[in-house]
Amino acid sequence: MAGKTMFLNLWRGLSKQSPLSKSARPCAVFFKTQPCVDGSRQYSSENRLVTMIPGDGIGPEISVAVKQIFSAAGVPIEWEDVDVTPVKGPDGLFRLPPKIFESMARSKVGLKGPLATPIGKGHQSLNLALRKAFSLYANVRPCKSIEGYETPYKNVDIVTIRENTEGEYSGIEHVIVDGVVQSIKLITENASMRVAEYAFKYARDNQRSTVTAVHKANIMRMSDGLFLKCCREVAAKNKDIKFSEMYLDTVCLNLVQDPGNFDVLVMPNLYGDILSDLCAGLIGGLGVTPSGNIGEEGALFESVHGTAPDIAGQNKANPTALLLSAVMMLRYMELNSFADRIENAAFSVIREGQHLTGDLGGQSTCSQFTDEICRKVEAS
Amino acid sequence: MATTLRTLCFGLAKNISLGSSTALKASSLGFQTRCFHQDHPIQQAAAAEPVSGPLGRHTATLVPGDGVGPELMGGVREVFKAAGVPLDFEEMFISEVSPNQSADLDTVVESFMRNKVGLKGILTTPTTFKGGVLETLNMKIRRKLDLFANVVWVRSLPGFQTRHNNLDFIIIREQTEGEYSALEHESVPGVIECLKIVTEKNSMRIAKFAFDYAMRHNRKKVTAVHKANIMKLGDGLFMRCCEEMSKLYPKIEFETMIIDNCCMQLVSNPYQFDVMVMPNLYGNIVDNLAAGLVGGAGVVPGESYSSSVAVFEQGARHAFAEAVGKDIANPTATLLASCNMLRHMHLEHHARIIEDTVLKVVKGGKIRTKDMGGYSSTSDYIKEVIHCDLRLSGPPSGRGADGGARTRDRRVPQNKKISRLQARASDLGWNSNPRQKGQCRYQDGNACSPVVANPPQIITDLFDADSISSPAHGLKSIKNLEITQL
Repeated sequence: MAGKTMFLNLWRGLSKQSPLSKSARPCAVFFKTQPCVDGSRQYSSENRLVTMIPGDGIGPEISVAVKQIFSAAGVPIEWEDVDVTPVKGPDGLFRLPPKIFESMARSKVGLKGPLATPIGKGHQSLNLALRKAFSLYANVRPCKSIEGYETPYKNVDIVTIRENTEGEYSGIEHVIVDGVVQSIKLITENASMRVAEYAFKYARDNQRSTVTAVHKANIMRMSDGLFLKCCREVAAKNKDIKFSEMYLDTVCLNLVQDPGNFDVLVMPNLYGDILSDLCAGLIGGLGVTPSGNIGEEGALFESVHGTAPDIAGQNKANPTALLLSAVMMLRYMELNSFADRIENAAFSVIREGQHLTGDLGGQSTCSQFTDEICRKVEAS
Repeated sequence: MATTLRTLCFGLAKNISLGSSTALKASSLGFQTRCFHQDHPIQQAAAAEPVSGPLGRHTATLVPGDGVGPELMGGVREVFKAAGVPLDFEEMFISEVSPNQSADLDTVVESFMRNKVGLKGILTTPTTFKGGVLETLNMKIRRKLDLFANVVWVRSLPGFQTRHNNLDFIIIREQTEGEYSALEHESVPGVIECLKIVTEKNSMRIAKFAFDYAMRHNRKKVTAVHKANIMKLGDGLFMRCCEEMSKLYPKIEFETMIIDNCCMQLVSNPYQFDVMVMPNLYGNIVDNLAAGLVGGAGVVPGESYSSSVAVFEQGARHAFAEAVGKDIANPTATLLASCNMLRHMHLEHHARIIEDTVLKVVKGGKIRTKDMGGYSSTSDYIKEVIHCDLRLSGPPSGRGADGGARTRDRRVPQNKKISRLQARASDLGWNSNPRQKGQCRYQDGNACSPVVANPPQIITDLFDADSISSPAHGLKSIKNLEITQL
């Protein structure tokens, strides 16, 4: 406990932040105690453990590609592969294997490839289970225009931060009378404060200037009103970051007209789901969009595209999304120099356009693309 | 035979404008096949009257709305006046942000119910909720009038380049329930429940509306947008209703799409969509997103329907309060919505004149408001629309300086004229209104001559030069009129 307090004080001193509210404290501790405060660990020879969930379909190929690039860059990371094929529990229900939880509990950081969602097989969804187990309350998706992969939208550089635990996805629904269904959208102060605080923290850590709260408080006056109120409260404590609030519909309208006007967006669950996919669409789809789930007890980074079973095993897949997610992970672990090197290498390969996979408009295979990035990483 | 037909037609036009000659009138009566909407009250009234009698003027409710609404509606009025639209507005100001000047909700609703048709600006809802009634004014109006279906027809404006051009799809939104049910409560401090209600009745109704709309406008595909993977019961019910309804329309392709994927597809490949149907909140999102694709909130008209009332407004609802008094708002959406309203009231001729002129102004590219990348003011735009060479126009003859009070909206069946109309519309780059497609429609008798930009000799021969207004004459008179009126 004493160590914890010391870390907290140290961190406070470093980040020059005003005292955090009660609810934010535990997460702040977890964020900063894992990577050491003075950054010494960054250069230590000690390897850090990361749980790797390769996933289904093209998952194994692209996770191998990511590992290859990481070893080329010499990232001090030790991978622990875990299989997530559901196992039958003593009660006869299929569950995730306990190994994944053990591994994640040790490593606190995970990287996950795409998973095929078995429909109606009677076991819990992996995403949901992991989200619950590690309180992954915020989903972060940075969407940045990729040079060399043209879309009609230029200069996109948006980060969507989505509340991940409640809202419309509370899963509470019932039939009141025949033909009348009631779905409950749940908004709590705790969760709203937590995600708002994370948004401001993210903005500061990543040199972002503005946080925009996206809401629909003109319609859902109490629930979205509460979310908005929390954002305003947090904004009042973080005066160094600009804060604005916008209606969801206005954001949609302006996003497609002038995406350059947006910076960090923070919002409840459903809106986040919609806007993060919309932003991904602006820069060329889910195949190039990284994603991270930040929690109180760890973080899970993932590629959110499908498993593409039609090209699985053919060496045609594009590992960009998983690689960029892994880069996000490095930044989260404060291995920034490695993150920058790998990111620059990946972007320059795409910019040069010589070794692109099929979905980016080239003819190269996944391994050619990977090799080229490795070469660039080693040269840098 | 063709010549006879044409002679008859022009004879009729001439005849009507003169208001004489019973012999031809009788034949014109026989000509009028009755295939308009029987459920339209105004139309019914017109059908019951003898053709020669004065129709009088139409009335529509006008709610200017908040923000730039009053400015834009002022523009619409000016344009209507200049084009001699035989329409009176019953204007009522209602607002949630300035309740002191606001009319009573019941009065406004009563007016809409009585007139059956109205033009509405955007009503702003204050963001800060201080307790009290959760339902916003917009919701109250929609509920009271039971405006269950909102239709936004997203079309690229010819000559106005955006990231995606030549878009043409229709968004149909259920707008009485869903997230907009205004049922919220605080279970314990800091925990709020918001109820989203989906009913089978309303879902079936909107699904049927969507498929009927698709049928009527010769559309091929209906896409139901939902989030049934998460809200399995609520959105599941909606999706199931759409599926069930689709079985009754085997000619129309049906597909479902999850809302987040739909938004992604809209920005990357919007051409795949045809008719889309969705619950309330998703409709709000998609309407705005789609409006953004073709140029913003200022250019897309929309309309809301109940079983008896039609309200026309902007497709993407933004009051644009920051532009009040600055004279920079884009009146395109409001003008196009007003044209749709005129068309709904079967004032085809006027609708077409105004719509064509608006499109021409946009295409010309000289006068553009700020949101379209220009520097013109709202009033410049309105003036341009009024001044613009109304090459098709020719105000209905017999109209005096009173703005067409005595104008009789003559209806003759469209035969060959419609194809000319379409040809002309397509050279503007805008598909002619599909409402006309495959249907027998009426248009102004007087429109016969103005339809043709350069009337062939045969037409002028048929007309007595003194008694009928040629397009050129019409143009002159509309300009004179405008000068005296403005």
